[in-house]
Amino acid sequence: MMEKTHSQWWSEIDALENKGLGMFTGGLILDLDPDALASQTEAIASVNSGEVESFLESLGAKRIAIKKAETVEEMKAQIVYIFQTNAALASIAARNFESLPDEAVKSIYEEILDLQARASRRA
Amino acid sequence: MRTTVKLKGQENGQEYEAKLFDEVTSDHFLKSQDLWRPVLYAAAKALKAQGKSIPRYLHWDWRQKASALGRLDASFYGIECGGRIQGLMKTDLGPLRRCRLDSQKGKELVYVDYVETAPWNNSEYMEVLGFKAIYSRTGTRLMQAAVQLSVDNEFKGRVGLHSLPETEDFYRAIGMTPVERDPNKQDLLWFEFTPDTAQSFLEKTV
Repeated sequence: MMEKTHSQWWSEIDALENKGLGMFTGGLILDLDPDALASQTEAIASVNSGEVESFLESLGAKRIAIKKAETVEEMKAQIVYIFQTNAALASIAARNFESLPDEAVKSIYEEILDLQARASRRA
Repeated sequence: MRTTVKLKGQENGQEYEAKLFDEVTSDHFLKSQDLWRPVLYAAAKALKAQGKSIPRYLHWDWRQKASALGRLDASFYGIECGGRIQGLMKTDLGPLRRCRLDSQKGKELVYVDYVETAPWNNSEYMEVLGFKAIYSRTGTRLMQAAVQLSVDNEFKGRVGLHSLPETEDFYRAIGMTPVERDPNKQDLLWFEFTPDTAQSFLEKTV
């Protein structure tokens, strides 16, 4: 079997570390309570999910799902975020544009012209 | 002891400098749990709503065991990055901890009692909450510290631990040898690093 490259090794370890769901060893909890792993309580302590989300944002965690905005300020923030992330996607697409099939190029070009026309009418 | 280790940003793949240190007290540990638990519970609630299983340790309340935790000072390691604790590990070098693998039987080792990483570094928890996880490699860096501790104590890298079921594949992948299920520890699988496998692990984690 081929030896894994250094980056392949790290990729596997990173993925498995994530699969570990945070806690990795049972020695301590079983020292403190021998039956700790024998049962799973169904009840999960209640938490304020809004506070948790704010806390995660304060850590710099990036959102991967847009939560529906309720205020104009939230809407503005989300619009800025969508533009930023779409600009990044557009940049990736532009770099790969040469390899797109002709039909896809024509279709995308027509859509861009249409979007521009509608935007200028609204303006 | 304070040393620099590198974590990897899960969003951008960049390396981040983190501090590995061993001045963690039980109070420090409980304060970290206070920050981690609400995120864990919110993620568990969301996972459960999607019909997914949640880890069995989740109901564990360390606060109720605070008095027993008093004896843990002096053997706790932490990794700090971005002003927050990203992971914790407890080790035990006590005389009752010995190798079980035939080739190493009876030799001294570092026993890893506990390893936990902050829930915001776990992609399953974070994705169910609508976020990208922040750092990876916290657990791996802590295991690296355990091997180094073993080397520093002239145990030649020998490390042993009882893996939770969810992490057996991780310990196999980093090169530890599964030895036996331990009937005295609810049949958890006992893993060991030998001097050779520990050395190989250290070389890969550079």
